[in-house]
Amino acid sequence: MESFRILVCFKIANELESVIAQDWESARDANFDIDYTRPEIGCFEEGALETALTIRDAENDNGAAIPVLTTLTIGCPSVLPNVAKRLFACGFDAVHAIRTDEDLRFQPERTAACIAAYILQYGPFDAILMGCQANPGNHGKVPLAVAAMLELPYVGQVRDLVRQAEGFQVVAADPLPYEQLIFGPAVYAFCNAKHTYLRVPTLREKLAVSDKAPEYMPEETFAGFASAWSGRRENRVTSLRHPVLKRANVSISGATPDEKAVKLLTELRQHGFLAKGSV
Amino acid sequence: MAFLRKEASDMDTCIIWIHGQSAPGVLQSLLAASDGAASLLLFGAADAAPYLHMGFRSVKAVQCKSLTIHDFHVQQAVSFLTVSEDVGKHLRYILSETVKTNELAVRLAIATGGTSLLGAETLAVRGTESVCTRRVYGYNLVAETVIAAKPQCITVKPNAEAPPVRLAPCPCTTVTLPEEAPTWCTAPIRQAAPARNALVDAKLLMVAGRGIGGPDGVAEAKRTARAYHGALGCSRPPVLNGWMEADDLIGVSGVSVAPLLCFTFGISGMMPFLLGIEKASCIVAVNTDPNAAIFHNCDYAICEDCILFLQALRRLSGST
Repeated sequence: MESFRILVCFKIANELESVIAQDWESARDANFDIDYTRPEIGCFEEGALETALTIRDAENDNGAAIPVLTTLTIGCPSVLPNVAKRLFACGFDAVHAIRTDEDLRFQPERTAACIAAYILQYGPFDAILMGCQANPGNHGKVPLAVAAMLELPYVGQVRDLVRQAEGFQVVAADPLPYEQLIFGPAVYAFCNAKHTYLRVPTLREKLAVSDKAPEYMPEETFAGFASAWSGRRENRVTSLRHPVLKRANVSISGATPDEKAVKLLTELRQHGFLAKGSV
Repeated sequence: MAFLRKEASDMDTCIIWIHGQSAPGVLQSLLAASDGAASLLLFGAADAAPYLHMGFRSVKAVQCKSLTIHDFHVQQAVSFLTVSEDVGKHLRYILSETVKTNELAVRLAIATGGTSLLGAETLAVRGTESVCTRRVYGYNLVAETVIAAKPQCITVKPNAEAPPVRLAPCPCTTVTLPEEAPTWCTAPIRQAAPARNALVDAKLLMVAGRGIGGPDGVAEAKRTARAYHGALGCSRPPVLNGWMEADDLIGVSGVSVAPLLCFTFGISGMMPFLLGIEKASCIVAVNTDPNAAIFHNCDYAICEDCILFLQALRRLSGST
């Protein structure tokens, strides 16, 4: 079997678990700033990255030609060199980053155009793996738009992907799970992936790639294709608000778990949430 | 003047619907959101008659074996819309959100020079603009988004079901297309539809999060849920860590529930999860972290070790 090429697109976005409630409540417009939180690879893209490595492992075990694994991101956050080191140590062959000064948070079509232009220039790839959506925009549009711009097939809600002699066997959902064999290049958008977490490389693996670095590309490199989309009107975010979830927020205190449990059960019975004799 | 009138009447809304994709009430709610004035492009219905009385201006029924709910060939639908249809006729296309309709909306927008928005929670028509709200920042914020380009291809979350109406029938045309199976894939092999998820019908629900600690904590939660005749679900981390099954997942990526009473154990309270339990009548949150976000979104907050509290609840189960 001939070697093949896989591209995994990933995004480094701010994790949101540490954003405090007051900051959410103060959000009013798209200038809302959460840059103080830790940047990390999007959870769905982590599944896509690990799946690519799993495919490579399987080819390796079968004695087949090892696939070439390339990764692509847009933007150059300060953590990218460290992320790239991890990706190299895991076994990715190239880490490419499109350098841009633009705020692409709410410009999914522009983002997709950059990726599509990159694929036209550096492709073809046999499989293009992406996450189904990422913070902060959560548009869920980028993989779809890449497929549409390049007129490639698209498979959404992907859970697993396995290389076969004829193509790729995909497990996806729409919403019920199904399996299908895909021939030729396609865009796969991962959601709840079977391989959830990107593996952690060993120290030896990290040392072996210590001289490798991501390759940065200016956005202008892809101006020819991307400019065709830049003039189009993206949707305009006019306001942000934090939805208020109205709950009573009664604190149950006590010296021991049993004391708290008794108080709670009494409250629940009084308010009819737990009927006496129901257990 | 005549041109202006023509322009005004032709710049209308088209709702695209795949027969069987959701309840008819969802389609009725889309019509209401489009200011009550829209035509219907109907795929996959052997008989369009039930759709003619819903209040559409007109119905165009497309009959094709490869454009049904079981086997919807998106690229064929886009080709039909862009070649066979006069795409300049419609200002906006509204679809109820599914995996396939999201793809159809984006491909149609790219092919026609328009724009798309997926998963709108609300949609309001203001002249030639559409104003949608949708979740951003990991579902923590709601963004109001204005869509101005033409055509606007919008998928709307099927949250609302409008009551049925029966009006005088509208005109209907039928188009029959040849079957066109995609050449880039084999036919999907589908798993049988699972039985209805027990979590959806549970009156008392216990939900385990990362703070449950592992399989032993899950086993403890299962025992306690059983003692209260309840069901046990989970947030994303227990699934990702292999402690529980994907079918147990509650939240945006899993099932939405509406129990009378919902206990959460060791759950931080991220919005994608909270959206899955927002219809619970009462939420009890147990977490060791007094600053956990879940404590801002519950009815009863208990700062305590999950396992110790589960054991206490189980000891007391005979006395309630």
